[in-house]
Amino acid sequence: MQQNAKGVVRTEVFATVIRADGRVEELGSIAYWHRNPFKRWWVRHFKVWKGER
Amino acid sequence: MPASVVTFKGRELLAFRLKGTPAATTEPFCMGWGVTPPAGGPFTANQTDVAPFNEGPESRIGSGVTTSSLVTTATTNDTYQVVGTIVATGARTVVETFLSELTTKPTTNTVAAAGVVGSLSATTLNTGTAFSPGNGSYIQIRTEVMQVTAGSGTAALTVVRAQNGTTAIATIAVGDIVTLGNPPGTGTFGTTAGSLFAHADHGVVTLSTGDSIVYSWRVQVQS
Repeated sequence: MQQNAKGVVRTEVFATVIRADGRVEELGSIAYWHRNPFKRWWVRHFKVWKGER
Repeated sequence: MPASVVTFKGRELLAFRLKGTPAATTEPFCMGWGVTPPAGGPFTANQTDVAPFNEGPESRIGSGVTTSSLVTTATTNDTYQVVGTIVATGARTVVETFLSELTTKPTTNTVAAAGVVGSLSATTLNTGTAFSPGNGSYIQIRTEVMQVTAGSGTAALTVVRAQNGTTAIATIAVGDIVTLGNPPGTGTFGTTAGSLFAHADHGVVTLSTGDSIVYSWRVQVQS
């Protein structure tokens, strides 16, 4: 189980792919961590349910 | 879901920035990415990491290319944000990203036969070519961090296993990537210019030459 610095509540990375021909693909949140394990669980399963993972 | 973490070194950098010393501590807004999951991978980013698992050939981006700011998540300005765009100079399979405080890339090498290969306790690291990380420096192979205590400049280095909170792994194989980085307690930057502040693994993003990824990192803090 990953942990984080005590003062850090949340780390999250969003990404957008821009193709060489100009097309844009919004990937949204691609990596996430929250201090609250229930929040981590919820986000992980919510994204699976939404089909994002 | 893939993880994004502030590393142990990142904690130290945060404390350095609060304290204001060492004065040379700079903002960790430099960004890079990692490509092609190494053998045995993909690996999950962890606070114990001192380096990306397999950094891509593209230069790290920093001052003037990334943009850092404070944004509001729960209370005003409680979140540090870094946005930057990395352009692929060839076909890439991108699987990780990270933040550091310098754009300097540490040297890397590969694992050669015998020594730590398949061993939990061996203390000899044979490398593909002579490797000069400096005695006293720290390296990472897969998820394990080791300290080099002797042999820098040769292809047979003496290491102390399982450093920086990691555990020894018996899965190290010939050809594994040897990366270089700093755990906390090694000075401003340690023996390697550029310390890993934050690290994230993510799902595979396949790029062609000229494609790019705009990463937006957000680190929310609270006392």
